[in-house]
Amino acid sequence: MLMFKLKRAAYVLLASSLLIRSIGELHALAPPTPAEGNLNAETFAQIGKQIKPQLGESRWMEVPWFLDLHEAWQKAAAEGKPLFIYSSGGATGIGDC
Amino acid sequence: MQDGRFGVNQVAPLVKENCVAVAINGHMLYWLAKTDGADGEFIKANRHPSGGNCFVLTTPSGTKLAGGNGGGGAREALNSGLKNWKLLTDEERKALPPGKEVKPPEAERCTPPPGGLILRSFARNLKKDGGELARITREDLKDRELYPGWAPVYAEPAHFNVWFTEAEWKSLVPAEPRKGVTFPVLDAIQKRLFRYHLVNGTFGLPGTWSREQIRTGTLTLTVEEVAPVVRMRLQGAALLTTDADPVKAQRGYDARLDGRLTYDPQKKAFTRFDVVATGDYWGGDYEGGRFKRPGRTPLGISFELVRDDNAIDRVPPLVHMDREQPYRAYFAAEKLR
Repeated sequence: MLMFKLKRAAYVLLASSLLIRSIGELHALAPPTPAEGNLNAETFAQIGKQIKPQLGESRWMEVPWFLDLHEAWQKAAAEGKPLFIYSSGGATGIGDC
Repeated sequence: MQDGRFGVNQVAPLVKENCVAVAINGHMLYWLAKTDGADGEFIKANRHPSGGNCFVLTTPSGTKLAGGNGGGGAREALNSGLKNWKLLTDEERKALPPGKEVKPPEAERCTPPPGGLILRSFARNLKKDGGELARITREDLKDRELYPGWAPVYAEPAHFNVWFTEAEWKSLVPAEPRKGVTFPVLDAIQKRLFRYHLVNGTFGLPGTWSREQIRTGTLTLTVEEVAPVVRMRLQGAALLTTDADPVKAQRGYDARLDGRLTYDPQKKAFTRFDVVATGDYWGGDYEGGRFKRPGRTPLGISFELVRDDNAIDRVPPLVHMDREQPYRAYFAAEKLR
C-alpha cells in the first residue's frame, strides 16, 4: 500500500513538473505584446519617455561631474570648494570607466 | 551601470551645493597613482584604504578631509569632510597641488573617438500592466516574490554611453538617399549595439553578450524623407541568449528595436537618433543572477544623442576601456561594408 502511494505521488509530481515546464515554454515563446512590436510615433515616444529618468530619479545626474582631476581641482580652487571624489571598484560611479 | 547606488542619489543636492565632484574609474586610479607627478601624489594621498566603491572629500591641493565606503559612504565622507573643511583657512581652501600634470597613456583610450558620435542610453526594468509597458513603482517592490531583494534604485534607469567612430556613423547616411530604400545597418554597429548595449545594467555592472550568443539579429534603416533633411526609420530585432535553446538559457533578452533618425545635410550631422529597444529579459544581475524576477519580464533600453557638453556624456562605454584588449574588442568590427 505504501509503495502504491509513493508511486502515485511520483506520477503526480512528474506530471506536475511536465505541466509547469510546458507552461514555462509557452511563456518563453509567447509573442510580444502590441506595445513591443512595431511602434507608431505615439507609442514610440511614450515608451521612450517611460524608460528615461523621471522627476526625482537618477539625482546623481544633477551633479556637474568632472572626469578629469586637473579640471576638477582647478574649479574647486577657484570656487573655494572641496573636491568630492567618487570612485567605484571598476567604474567611475557615473558610468563605466 | 546603476549610477545611483551607494546613496549617491540621496547626497546629490549636498554635493552639488557644496563641492566640485569628480568621478574616477577604479582602474584609472591605479594608473594615475603610478604616474610621477601631481596626479600620482594626489591619488596616493586620497585613495580610500578599503578600495571598492569609495568616496573621499579632499581639498583641491589633495589634503584628505574624510572618506567613506559602500552604501552610506558618500554621506559619511560629506558629513565629516565638510566639518573639517570649515576649519581650514581661505588660503588652504584655494591651494593647488604642487607638481606637473602627468596623464597615464591609458587615459587616451577613455576619450571618445575624434569626430565620433556619442549616444546616451538608459536601461530600465519595466512591468506589463494590462498589455502595456509601465514603470515599476516603489509599491510594486513590496512584493518580494516578484522583486526578490530589490532596492528601489533597481527600478530606476541605468545610464550608459555608446561610441561610434566617425566612419561608422557616416556609414548610416546613404550617399544618395532615395525614399523607400531599405538597407542594413553596418555590421560593426549592429554587433556593438547587440553585444554591449542590449544588456541589463540596472543592478550594477553589466555583462556583455559573446558573438555566439547573438542567436538572431537584424537592424535596417529605411529612408522615409530625403529633403530638406534625411529622415530614416530604424527597425530590427535581436535574440540574445546564453544557450542556443532559449528555453534552457539562464539569461536572455528577446529585443525589438525601433528608431527615428534625422540627418541634416547642411549641418553634416545627425540631429535626431532616438531608438528604443523593448522585449523580455531574464537572468537577473551579472554576479550570480541575483534579483532575478520570475519568468521573463520586460526591459526597455533607450538611445538618444548626447545634448550637453557634460562630462557624463564622455564617460566611456566599458568598465575596462582603459585596457587595450576590451578597447579593441569594442571597436573590433570596425571595417566598413
